[in-house]
Parts: sequence; structure tokens; C-alpha cells
Amino acid sequence: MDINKNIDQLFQEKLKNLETTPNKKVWKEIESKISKKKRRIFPFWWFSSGVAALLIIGFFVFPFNDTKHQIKQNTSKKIITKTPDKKIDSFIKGGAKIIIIQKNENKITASEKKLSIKKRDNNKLTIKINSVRKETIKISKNSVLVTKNEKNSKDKKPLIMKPVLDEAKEHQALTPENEVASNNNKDSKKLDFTKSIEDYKEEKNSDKKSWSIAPVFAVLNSNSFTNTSPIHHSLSGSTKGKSSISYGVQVAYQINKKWGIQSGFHLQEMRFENNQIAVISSDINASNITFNSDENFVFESGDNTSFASTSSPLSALSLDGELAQNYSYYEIPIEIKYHLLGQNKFKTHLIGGFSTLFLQGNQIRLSTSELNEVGKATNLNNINFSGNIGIDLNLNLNTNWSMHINPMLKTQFNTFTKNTNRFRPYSIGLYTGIHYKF
Amino acid sequence: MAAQSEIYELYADVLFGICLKYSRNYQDAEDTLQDSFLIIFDKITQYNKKGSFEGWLKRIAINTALQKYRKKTPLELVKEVTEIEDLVEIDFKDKNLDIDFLLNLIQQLPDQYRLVFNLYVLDSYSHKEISKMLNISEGTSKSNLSRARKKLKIALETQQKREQNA
Repeated sequence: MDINKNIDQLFQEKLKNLETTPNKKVWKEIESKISKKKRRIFPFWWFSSGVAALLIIGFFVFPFNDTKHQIKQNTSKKIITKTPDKKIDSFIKGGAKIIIIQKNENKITASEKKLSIKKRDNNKLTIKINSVRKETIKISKNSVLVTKNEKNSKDKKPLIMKPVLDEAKEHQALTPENEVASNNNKDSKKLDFTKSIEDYKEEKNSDKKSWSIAPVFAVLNSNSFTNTSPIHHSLSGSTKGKSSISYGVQVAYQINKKWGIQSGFHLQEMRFENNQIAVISSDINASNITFNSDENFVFESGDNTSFASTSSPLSALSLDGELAQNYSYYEIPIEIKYHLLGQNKFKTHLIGGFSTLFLQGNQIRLSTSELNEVGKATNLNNINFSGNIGIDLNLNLNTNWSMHINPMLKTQFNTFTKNTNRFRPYSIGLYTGIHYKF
Repeated sequence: MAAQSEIYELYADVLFGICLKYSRNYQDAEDTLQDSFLIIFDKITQYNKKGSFEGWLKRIAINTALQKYRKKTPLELVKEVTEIEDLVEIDFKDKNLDIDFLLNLIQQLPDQYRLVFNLYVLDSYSHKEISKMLNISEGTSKSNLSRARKKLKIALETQQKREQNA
């Protein structure tokens, strides 16, 4: 025993804390392997999750009003415009109308006003405006929109008025309300009055509501491009896709009349089943399942040809086994919509995009007449991707509400880590939802 | 990449020491070191900050080496061997034994003897733990250890005689 201790001690003393610097080429090889790996796990559809994130951020950062047509401005300020002389003449003759849209904290007031213009001296004009009509719309941001009604100008040319904010100069010439004065001051802030009230009204209707949100529900059917099984190679031919469901929330943004973009958050389920299989108890785990009971099984597809060739049926525990695989994902899609057909009431869009799928549930249930086992697939990736394509049929119910039916094909790219037996799952789904637009 | 290279710089020497002890030769040790670091960088998110980081890294290196030499057959014949200890006294007090020489002795042991000897003597694992790690019985682990010691002892004796003759 002493000698043993002696030997142990000797080696412990000399070798226990052995440190040796390895050759530099080892790091070089590690480095090259990591960078290769990194490039590999950055496929292009990773961008989809990035874009989806941007879309969601955009949803919060750019709220729902249309900032292009509104000018943040205090309503009590006078509006001073600079106009070329000729146009002023036409003003005087034509008696143009002006629409002023005023905004308070919670409402918009559109007033149609008639102009009457008085000459004061060479440079200045004072224009009196009489109120003709008023419209009030409730909205939530503080700004002012001033619009000129083109149709009322006599020469029918669009009149471009450039208002300037210059209170000091015109202080005496103007009464506090309903007056617009023009001068030739070039240094002031300028605004284009190019939109007519008609445009404005048009934009207020449903087309202009670019955001929409919808609870979405779908019936899916899981399928595979090949007839193999991701669980065990001997089960090829017997795997059947079953129907399952998906539900979640969809957020969409209409970029322009033709193009839109949509994202959201869904829970998606995939279901496959193998019926009539032989179940054989085994010492080694040859399938891609770990059962909760730590038992191992080998499976054989029920059809006779493959059965006879590989193993003796005598060892089989059961010949009527049923293997049900369920797995589910949190799905974040990013899809582009292209308007194909249809006008206001009924529209058809072509949809294409990608989804990032985060593995959420993973269950395999084995049931035979003798036993029931629950386990997990060991070869599912935590992050998966799918390519999506489909057609969206949209029915407008009113300005705020619409509903859609949307058949989609989603092909998964990165479902399994290993031993896939060339199983390529996809799902066909019929998605439906009711959209609220704002 | 910067973080990985830093980890490599800090721990490569320690882990390479382990790889050398658990491997057949220098070339194998380099391969094992490389594999270990690839696993480390891959699984670094799984490191729970409870144990020491160095300990975690060492375990990965050891496991990588074990993976390489562990016998693949699930069935192992259990041979309970009670070795009769040879009572020859050798003066191991000689501290001048070269590290390279000792390392070489370990590397020349049969794979499983080397693994058991390393795990038990140098890394303080129990026979029970070793039996699980190598998928062998505790008895096999014990007998492998004693055979490893015997082989080392013989090698050391021969070396000593050679030195005395010189």
C-alpha cells in the first residue's frame, strides 16, 4: 500500500498541476472553425426576426396619426403668407376660399373661409376671412393644418401659399382672429399648402388607416415532403401529419396602396402520428426519443416487408403501438403583402415572408394496449425558421373593421438537429381573423 | 471572437496539461484540446455560475478526452482481480524524475488504465464516479487502477536500475 501511495504521490507532485502551452496552430484552427460556424448559423432569414422587431418598435414610436399633413402650431398664432403679386391679384378677383384646420388637444376643426383682400400699400395686403363652414374631428395631437381649396380659385391653377410665422411685423395690421396677411419676408418659416380639403377628407377614411391589429386563429395540417419519420428510420412510410391549430395576434402596416408589411406573435402546433407500429424494448436508445421512464424502445413500421427484414416479431412488446409527436412553437412572422386585386370592399393580397420559430412544446406519446409512455424528441432545434407563402382575402366591414381568410403554406428549414431521416415538415393552414384598423 | 481568444489565452495551458495526461500522445492531446474549446464556446451559455469556471472547463476537457478513448461496447465483462502487491521497495524519493518522463509513462499506459489512473489519482474522482463516467463496474475501475500502478512501478524500476548501472 505504501508503494501505491508512493507512486500516487510521485505522480501527483509532478503532474497534478501540469500546465503546458500548446502550439499556436491549435488556436488558429479553433478560430477558423468558430468563424465558419458563425457564418453558418447566420442565415438570411435571421433578418426576419430583426425586421419583425423593427416593425413592433415602429408601432410604438410612430403612433397612428399622419404627421405629413399636420403642422404643429399654436392655433392662436396669425398665419402670414408670402405670395407672388399676380396671384394676389387673382385672389382679389376670385375671392378664394381657404380651409383652416385647427387642432386642440383632442379635436380637429376644419373651417372653410372666404377671403376678401384689401390693399394697404405696396408690400402689404390684409386679407379678411369670413367663416363659411366648420367641421370638427376628434384627434389626439396638437397641430394645425392649413389647406387651400383649389377648386375655388378662378384660374384653376393650384395656388401655392407660403405662410410665415411672423407675429411682430403684422401685429397692428391684423385682428387676432381669422386674418391672413402676406408680405415678402423671405427669411421666415415656410409651409406648403398643397393639399386640398378633399384630399384631406379622403385620407381620413379607411384607406389611410395604415395600422391594423387582429386576433388570428388557424387550422393547420402538418405534412412532410418526404414519407420518412424524424423519430426512427424504420418508421418511414407510416408517418402521417395530423391537424392542429395556431392562434395569436397579427399586426400589419400598410406602406402604400400596393405594399404592406405584417408581423405578430402566434402559437403554432405541429402534429404527426405513426399507427400500427411494432414496439420492441431495447437496451440502447436507437431512436430520437427519451422517455420519462428511462425505458428505451425500438420501433418497426407495421407494414410487413420492413418488419421481417430487421428483427424478429417475437421480441415485440406490442404490434399495435401508436406514436404521436406534438411540438409547438412561438412564431414571429415577418411577411410582405402585395395587393393583387379588388377595390374598397374586397381585396386580395399575395403574402410572402419568413417566420422565426422558438420551440415551446415537445412531446411524444407512445401508447399500446400494454403501456403508455410520454417522452421528448431529442433532435428538435430550439430555433427554427419557416418560409411562408399564401393568399390573403380581405373583406372590409366598415372603416374600422375588416376580416380576412388566408390560406398559407409554411415550410420549415431548421427543424431538426440530427437524424432527421430527411424529414422535411411543412404546414398548410387556413388563417382567419378580424382586423381593427387605426 | 475577442472574448473567445481571451478565454483561450487564460486557460489553454491548464487544459492542455489535462489533455496531455489523458491522451495517448502529443498529437491526440492537441486534437482533444481543440475539440474541448469548440465544445466550450458552443456551450458557454450553459455554464451556471455556481461552480468555478475553471472547474467547468476542466470537466469539459476531461469528458472530451474520455469520449475519445472510452470503450464503445455497452457490455463489459466484470473481472474481479485481486492483485497481489509486489513488495519491492523502490526509492521514489528521487525528485529529479523528469516530468516529461512521467508524462510519457502515463501516456504509454493502455487507454482505460490511463483514464482510470488520471481520474482517481490526479483528479480525485471516486471509483463510483469513474465507473459511471467510463460505463464500467466499480470492480473494473479498481482493478484497472491497480494494474496501472503496477505497470508504472515496473517502468520506474527499470528506469532506476538503468540509472544505477550508468
